[in-house]
Amino acid sequence: MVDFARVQKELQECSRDIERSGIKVIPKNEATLARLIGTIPGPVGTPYEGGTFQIDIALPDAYPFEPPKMQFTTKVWHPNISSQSGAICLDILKDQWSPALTLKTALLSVQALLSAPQPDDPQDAVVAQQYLKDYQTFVGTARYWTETFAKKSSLGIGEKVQKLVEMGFPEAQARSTLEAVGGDENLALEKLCSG
Amino acid sequence: MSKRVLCKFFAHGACLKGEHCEFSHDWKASPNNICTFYLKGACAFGSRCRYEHVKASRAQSFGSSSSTNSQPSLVIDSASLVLPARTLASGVSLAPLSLSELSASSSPFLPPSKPAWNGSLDGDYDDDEGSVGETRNTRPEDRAICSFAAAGNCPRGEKCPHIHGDICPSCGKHCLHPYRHLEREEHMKICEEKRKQLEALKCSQEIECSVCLERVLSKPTVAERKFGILSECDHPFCISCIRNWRSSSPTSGMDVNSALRACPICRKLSYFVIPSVIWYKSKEEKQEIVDSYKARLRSIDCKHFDFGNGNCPFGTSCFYKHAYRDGRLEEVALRHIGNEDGQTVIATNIRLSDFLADLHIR
Repeated sequence: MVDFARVQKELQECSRDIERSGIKVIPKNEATLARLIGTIPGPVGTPYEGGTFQIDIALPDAYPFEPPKMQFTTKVWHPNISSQSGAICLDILKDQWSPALTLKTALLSVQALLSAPQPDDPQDAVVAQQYLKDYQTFVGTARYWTETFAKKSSLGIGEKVQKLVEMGFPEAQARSTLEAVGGDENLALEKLCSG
Repeated sequence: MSKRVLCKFFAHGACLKGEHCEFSHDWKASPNNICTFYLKGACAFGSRCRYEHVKASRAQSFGSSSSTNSQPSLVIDSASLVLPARTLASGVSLAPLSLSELSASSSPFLPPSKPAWNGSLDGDYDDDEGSVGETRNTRPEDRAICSFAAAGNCPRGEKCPHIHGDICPSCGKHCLHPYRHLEREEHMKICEEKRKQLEALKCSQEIECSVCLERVLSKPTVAERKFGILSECDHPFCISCIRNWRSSSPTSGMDVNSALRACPICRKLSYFVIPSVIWYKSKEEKQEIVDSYKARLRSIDCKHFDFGNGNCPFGTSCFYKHAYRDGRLEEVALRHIGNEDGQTVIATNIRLSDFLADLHIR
């Protein structure tokens, strides 16, 4: 059984410190605390600067004695993050997990991973190859992906709804879905398509 | 010999021990009604005491009558037998007694050699109503101190006929007997220890476990309100959290020896966890907790060893007692073997088959 008392505490602690760390953790839905969405800002001075990255968090039953399962939902171009699935290659999310770590510290580590790629221990071989062989192209691609997938679109909610309506979704449904996912049009589209 | 003294409970028709009672259930047996506190010279009840405040001669005759069985330890025996009964009988009303009086009563009443009735004492020197004149005859160390003052507040204040004890620096009560030095020291020692423990407990209240993020001593069940002390580092956890972590099955590829045995915070390896209700502040305090825990375990028979019938996986490192049924302790001669790389290792379970395995028979 997940220790929800602890998760609750972690969420409070995280929201208290949101101004400084920029790291946000919110429950995916009201029903359970076992599924969460984490948000981290791209570190300054990296190709990820300015982006906001969403991470899907699933807490295993044995949490905090087992690491939380984390996966990027925002597409990222990084040697240690799968460009396809968003899977993260980070030791503390696997065999180096410790129950003294929290969701916030884990997300901080993920953020640190963005600014310090480890191409020798890659998750995505293609990205790692590019990082090692052609660093300039890597930086360019990473920045482009950040611009495309991780930047909050400057469009207002009305325009986003309009965009979805143009794609053929009914307006009421498009609006409610957009609100449910916090205004992210990519996520809303995904959700609308899946069901 | 204890059969000679009439059982108090039997006398009231309420002895639960029946035939197994160590006291006499014969109405002809003489009841023991001598106030042991009076013998020590410190009965707080004075003339209202329901036990006899008798003088030396009778008390001694009681002592000698019981020593007709010619056992050297008799006097102490009868004392220890009488005392618990006395405290039992007056258990509740004894409450206002000071610590010093209690400690006086718990020491065996050995000698009527230094008794309260040494002088020409006629009446109850300890009488409640103005028997101050008589007390002049007793030595000051034989006089009891006022138990009300010792408990915190004497309603009679200055007019109290009893000596008011000196203030104990630790507990702030008038409970130090001005003339009994041994008792003073004893009390101050106990008091100081109590104060330290209370302080430690106070500090421990604030400490949080970094796994459940709760205050350890505020956990819902009593069993959980314990710290788990790691042998090699000083990070606090609650006992249930740290035990859970160390025993969690390494499903996600976590290594038992490098990850699970390590402190969740500093990752220093510890080989055992010690439960404790208070947290420590210094290395010495920690050592004390560890030592007392180990000493406690050493008195318990190891269930794996099973009096020599079983096999304990912890061998000589086991914290529990390895003793055979006859009380003999297990003797282990450790065999040290020089390893290939020059280090000395301790050999366990040497079997002939281990050597035969390498033997190539042609």
